[in-house]
Parts: sequence; C-alpha cells; structure tokens
Amino acid sequence: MGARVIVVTSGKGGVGKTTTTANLGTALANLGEKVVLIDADIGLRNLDLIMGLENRIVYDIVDVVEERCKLKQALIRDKKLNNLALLPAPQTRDKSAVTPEQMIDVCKELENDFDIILIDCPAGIEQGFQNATAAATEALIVTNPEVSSIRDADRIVGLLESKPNEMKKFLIVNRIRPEMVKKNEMLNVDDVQDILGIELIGVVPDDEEIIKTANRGVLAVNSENSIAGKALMDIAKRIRGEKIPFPPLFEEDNGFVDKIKKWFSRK
Amino acid sequence: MSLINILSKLIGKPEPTSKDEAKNRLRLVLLQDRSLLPP
Repeated sequence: MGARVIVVTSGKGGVGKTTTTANLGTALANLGEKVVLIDADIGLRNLDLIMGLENRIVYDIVDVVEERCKLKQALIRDKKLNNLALLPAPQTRDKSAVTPEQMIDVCKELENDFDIILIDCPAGIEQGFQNATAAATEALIVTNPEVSSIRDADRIVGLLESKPNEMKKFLIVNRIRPEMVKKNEMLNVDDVQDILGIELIGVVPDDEEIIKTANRGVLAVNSENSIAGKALMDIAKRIRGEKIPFPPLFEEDNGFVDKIKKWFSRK
Repeated sequence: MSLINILSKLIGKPEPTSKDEAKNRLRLVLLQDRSLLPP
C-alpha cells in the first residue's frame, strides 16, 4: 500500500497552514509514522523556518524536478526525529517552476520510503494550489472562525470537489477564542462546520505558545504548556484513525446567576 | 445599566450578536459566490 498524501490548504493566507503542517508532521512522527513534509509554497517558503531547519537546506524541490540532484539529496532529516523529513521549496523561483505532473512524480517516489506525505499548500487558488493538490487524496482545510477565512475555505471546498479524483476533506478550525465564542462574539465550531459542510477533524485554540515556539524554531506539539499543541496532537491521532473525543471549549454556565448575567450582557 | 436599558431588554427584541451577523452575512455571500460559479 502506498503512502497517504495529505494536503494542508485554506485559500486565505495567514490562517496557520504552515504551522499546522509542521506540528502535524512532527506529531505523526512522534506517533511512529514515517513522515515527509513538502513545502509547496515556492518563492515564499517558511516550513523550514517553523521546523527549525532553515540552516540545513542545500537542495530543494525545483532542484529535484530539474534534475540537479536526487530526491534523497534534497530531503532534510529532522534534528530529533529520524522518521521525519522535509522537502523544502526554493525561495527564489515562482510557482510555475513545478508542474502538477512533476509533483505527482515526486510524491510517487516518496511513497516508497514514507507512510504519510504532508503537503503545505500556498495561499490562493492558482498554480501553487494546483501543484499542491495534484497528488493528494486527502485535504485538511484550515480556517479561522471569521468571515473572510470561511469564505475562502468554501471556495477551496468547491475547487476540491470539482477535481476528477475523489478527495477526502476534513476541517480544522484554527485560532478559536473560547471566551469570544462564549460571549457570542465569534462563530463557534458548529457554525463553521454547518456552513462548510465537511467533517471536522480538529479545533485548535488561539495560543501564545504557537508564536513562542515558532520564535525558537521548535514545535508546539513538543511543548507541555501549549493548549494548541495538545489539540494538534489530537488531530494527528485522528488522522491515524484513533477515536479522540473533542474536548469542550469552555465550561458551560448553568447557574441561575450566570444565566441572568449572560442575559444582561447581551448587546 | 439604566432603568431604561433594563426595560428595553425586557420588552424589546434583542439586537443580533456579532456572531449572528457574521453567520447571516456569510450565508448571503456564499449563496452569491456559489451562484456565480460555472456548473
């Protein structure tokens, strides 16, 4: 059986695709899977930086497809996990440097050595999106619970559905703020899922640890203090087929006084 | 909170929350987006 090829996409930029890809890859490798991460964001690479591997790049995916090196030469092994590798993107080329067919070929070659191929898709719906999704059979659609992000995610769902090959689609609601949801000032997970109509695989709370870990080039899934890291680890387990319940975002206020307070705090 | 505010809360229809407004606006815009796409 070949490797699972999973693309992490969103449509909108800045919703947390790269951070999600890096953390899920690390979490899956921690769980024993052989994982390779592909940075498909040619010209705007960042997965190397989030992984803390930016100083180790010699070759990239364009060097591979233009046959300046072997695929194995371009792969960068993680500092701690032997079963985790990164195929970086170049920083000085544009999205047209790779074609969807070449991406499929690269993934086919990687399938021999890995269980899971996780592709970090660039923002937008142009060539970079076409490349990143060409070989994938599963998609993790990352969205923030706000209007522009959900609108773009809906467009992505439509584009993935129009592809000839069937693709399983899963929703990750990222950077949710429980206190805002509690006060009815942010869309809740059910609202987002209801609008997008795809299966939910994870809810990641907004967490300062994500910024702190990224600053250091380490991963939130390896931090004991990170609530987002815990949520991302749960997603990795669900990707592997484990039945992990979704924890409540916040404790419900059930007391009479709380209900009165809530009622009077409505705008 | 003034007495008038309390009375208006008791009698009047509550204003939609920002979440409700987001939901309503999204439903409309997605309906329009989807209708504009080629079949």
